[in-house]
Amino acid sequence: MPGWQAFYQEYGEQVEVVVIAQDAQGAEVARPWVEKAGGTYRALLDQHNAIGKAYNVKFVPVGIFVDEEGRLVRAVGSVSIDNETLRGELVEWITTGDIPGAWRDADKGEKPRVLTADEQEADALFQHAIALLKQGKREDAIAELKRAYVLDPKNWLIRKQLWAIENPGMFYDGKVDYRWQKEQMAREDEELKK
Amino acid sequence: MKKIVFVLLLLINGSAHTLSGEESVKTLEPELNDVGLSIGHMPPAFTLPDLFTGEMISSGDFRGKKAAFFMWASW
Repeated sequence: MPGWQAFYQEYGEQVEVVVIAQDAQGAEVARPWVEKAGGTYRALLDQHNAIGKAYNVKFVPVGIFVDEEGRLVRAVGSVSIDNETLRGELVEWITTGDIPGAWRDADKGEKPRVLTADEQEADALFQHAIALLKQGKREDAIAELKRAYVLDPKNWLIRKQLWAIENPGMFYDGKVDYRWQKEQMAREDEELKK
Repeated sequence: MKKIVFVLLLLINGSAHTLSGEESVKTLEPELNDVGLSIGHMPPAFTLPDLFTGEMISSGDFRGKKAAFFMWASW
């Protein structure tokens, strides 16, 4: 997060920086992170996984970089603003308008696709879980999310969201516990094999 | 390759039936070129609320300026 603010302060005149929170729990859980980072860039909320579904994306962080006409200059995919190489490529594009060779080389020509039946069902359960959260029915929401990730186990937008709702202490009390995440993943993968 | 075949079909179709070929090509162009997830394509459009104000913002609102959208999550 601090990476975006530094980038925005330096290049915000030339490029619009927009960060999009993928948080089923709503704006309240996402806002503190932007505030802590002193973020003055535009921040949006994608509570219902609209982008994940439309773009075949099942994880974060992901970058969507477009030119003045709104056309992609890099295939939609994984990014880290704290990665030196990526930052260098971004700066090259922003200052020259030329698309970096590495971006062209990595482009696989992917197209949006219709969700499979299992992905659609997982999404329906995910949306229901959001409605249940809004009604304060946390346990019921967790149950729906547990059914959802089994149908779409590689969808981290569902699976890690479930982890954060069920085990907030592992995500929201200071440091994020990556060792716990690894163990949790292994536990679930064992369950999925059955 | 698909594109080339499609354009050829259009051309054959156009010349055989003397319909206004230019017009049909124009109407079909967005379908051929536009929405995609790779370089040169228009990514699927989205409209989402601002995290702080709730104001609805569309991906197209930033037309005329380069834009970098970053998906992230609190988890």
